[in-house]
Amino acid sequence: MSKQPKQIAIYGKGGIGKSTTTSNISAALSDMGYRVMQFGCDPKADSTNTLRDGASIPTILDLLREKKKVDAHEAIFTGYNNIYCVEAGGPAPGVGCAGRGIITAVQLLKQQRVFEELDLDYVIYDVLGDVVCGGFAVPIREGIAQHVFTVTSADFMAIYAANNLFKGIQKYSNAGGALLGGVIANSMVHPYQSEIVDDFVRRTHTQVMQYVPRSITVTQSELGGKTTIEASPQSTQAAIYRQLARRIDEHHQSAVPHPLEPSELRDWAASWADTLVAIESGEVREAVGAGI
Amino acid sequence: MPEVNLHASAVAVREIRLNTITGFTGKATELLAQQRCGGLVDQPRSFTQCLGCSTSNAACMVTLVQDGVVISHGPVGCSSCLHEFAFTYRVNAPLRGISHASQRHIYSTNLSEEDTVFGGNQKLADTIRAVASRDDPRVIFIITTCASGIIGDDVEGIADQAEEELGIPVVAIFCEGFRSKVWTSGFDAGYHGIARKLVRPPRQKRPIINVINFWGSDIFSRWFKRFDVTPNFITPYATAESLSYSSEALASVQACTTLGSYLSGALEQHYGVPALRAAPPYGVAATDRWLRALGALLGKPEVAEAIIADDHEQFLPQVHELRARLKGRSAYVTAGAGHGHSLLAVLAELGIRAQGASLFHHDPVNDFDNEDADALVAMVHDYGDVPNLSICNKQEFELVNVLNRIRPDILLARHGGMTLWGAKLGIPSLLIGDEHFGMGYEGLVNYGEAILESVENDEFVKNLSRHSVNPYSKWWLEQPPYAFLGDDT
Repeated sequence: MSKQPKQIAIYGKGGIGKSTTTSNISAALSDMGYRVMQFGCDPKADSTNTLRDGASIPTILDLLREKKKVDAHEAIFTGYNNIYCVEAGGPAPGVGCAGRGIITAVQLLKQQRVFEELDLDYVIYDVLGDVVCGGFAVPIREGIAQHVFTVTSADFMAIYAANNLFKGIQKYSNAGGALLGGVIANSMVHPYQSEIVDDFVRRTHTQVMQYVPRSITVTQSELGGKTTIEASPQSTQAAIYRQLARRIDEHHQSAVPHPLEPSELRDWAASWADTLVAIESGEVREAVGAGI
Repeated sequence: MPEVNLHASAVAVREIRLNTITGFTGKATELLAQQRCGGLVDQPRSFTQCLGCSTSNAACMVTLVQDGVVISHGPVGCSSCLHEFAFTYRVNAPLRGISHASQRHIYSTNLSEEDTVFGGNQKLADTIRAVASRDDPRVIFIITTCASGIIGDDVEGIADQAEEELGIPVVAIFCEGFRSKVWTSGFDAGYHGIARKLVRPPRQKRPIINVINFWGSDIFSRWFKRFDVTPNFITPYATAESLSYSSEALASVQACTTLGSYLSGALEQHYGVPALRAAPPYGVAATDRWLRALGALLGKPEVAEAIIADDHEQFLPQVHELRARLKGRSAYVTAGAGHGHSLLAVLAELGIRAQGASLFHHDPVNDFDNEDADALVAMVHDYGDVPNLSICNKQEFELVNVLNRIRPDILLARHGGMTLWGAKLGIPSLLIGDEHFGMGYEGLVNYGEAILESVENDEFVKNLSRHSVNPYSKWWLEQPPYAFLGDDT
């Protein structure tokens, strides 16, 4: 019997840098010698572009639209370092049901036993935004992904989305669903931003996997259609992504998070609003969270 | 060989797994020639009437399990036809020696608009527990619907959790109607759930033969007794326990290859229970072959020969007599795929000329990948070609048009609601729901007598045709019957 790949899902608010982070993790894991598949679960279908010189690939749902019987291999393309790239795809904005699209696409690959056949070490799901409906929860249930990581910035809406994801994980945790590995703190510029994320993970009983600073190197690489790992392997940013990939590789024990209730989240955010005003105005205060 | 993948929660539908089609017209030999060269193409219809739903076919497979209950997870309308299986269970129970047929327990979670917005997970979880405490079942089957499928309820996770808590199998069956146009995909969904969650790994071999069938009369026990084995009927009138040890059987046979295809394949691939490689026993030639294949598989070829000799002696003189009385008669068949092929064999054996058939789908291959078990291949081999073979998923407008042109002496049907079209045209029509009625050598006698009785008593249908109004227009009846087939506009 073939080995079971380690399956992880990466969630986070739209535009927060999930695909960038995921593609760099995939690239770094493949550099470590692993056989990796990146599975984009977003109707935009651009998760894997930077693994393929900026080029798009036909999605599973595109193929299903053309013909009723799709061989999963027709939807699998190779990118940087032979990473297998798959895009679920989905309907045009404003029509259909993107959640059902994810169910259909994931089922197709499972039924055809693609993961076993390709002898993968890693399958990484890059999932659109928030866990808005049952379809978007598919990668974290039915024993598909084992570990979930969420990408967030210190922005309140990103943290709100992360907290929603924690609720989804908590809901499915009793039924053999995926558990939370930790938070990837993205777009870190000011110290207070990492402090906000630190405070959030402490309250929700999880951990920060990596602080990823905002970096022009990432933007340059992406504009060239590449991951930072490929375009600037010697850069500081690439070293950070490699460290993140190593931590994910060494990570084996995930846990049930403790999401904040809406009122708790609101009060927590309000307390940070006061702190930020104080920082802006130069008021001297005692440190709030760890690390200051 | 199509792989039976029990790891996935949902079964791959027939269109994908077996390249099954629902649109074709031509001769039987043309259909077989296309399937052999891989050139079988499903012809779409530019107009169709309504189809059956997979959720109903999945319900058909699991509602008749004696000690199980069924929960339809969806809007209440999705379960509006399921009471039919309670009727089926009750009226056919005597055929299996069940004198007091217990009430069927069929529930719906009654998903509302609010549930489609907020999710039906909790409602399902609550329903499972309520049903468990109310009925104390040995197994709970959950059949999904389009609504629960689209909103993405975690039916599998909830079933698993309830199973752990309640200590009985809770089987999630994924049979959303939108996934397949082939009605038998619903049967597969039911079998997939059973194979995943109910069937236990074998601990020993038992002197039983799995009989994958509907609810027909028990013709098997008489034959099997001479082999010192007993039938393990699947799924109607089975129990959770008898399904669980189907992995310990010496073999699996099927009343109809298309019905038994998936579960036979699953039991063979996962538990080493061989599927019998012979077309079901309808017609003398096929029955001879089937008994010999069974004898060979059980290592008792002499028993098979003895049964064949005895049954030939007992029944074939009556068959010869019926042939003489039925000579020159013609017939048209409407039935599901595998059973329809078998009925064509029965007709040919009785010397009745089949003028055509309308069969609900066609599988070019089965799940245990064997052409010897293909009833159409066997029928054409034994008796020759059949003209006007239509693969048609119960499109009644085509059936009426064809019947109006062909005007056979009798219409044979396996499903309720189909014979009325023959009767309205004044064609004697015979509905036999018991799919074992024509099985074996005595089945030829059964069918021959029933056909004779129908064609000789045609006054009622003649009278009916004079007083009935055909809902189809004169225009349509003058069009070629397959005018809407093969046009993808």
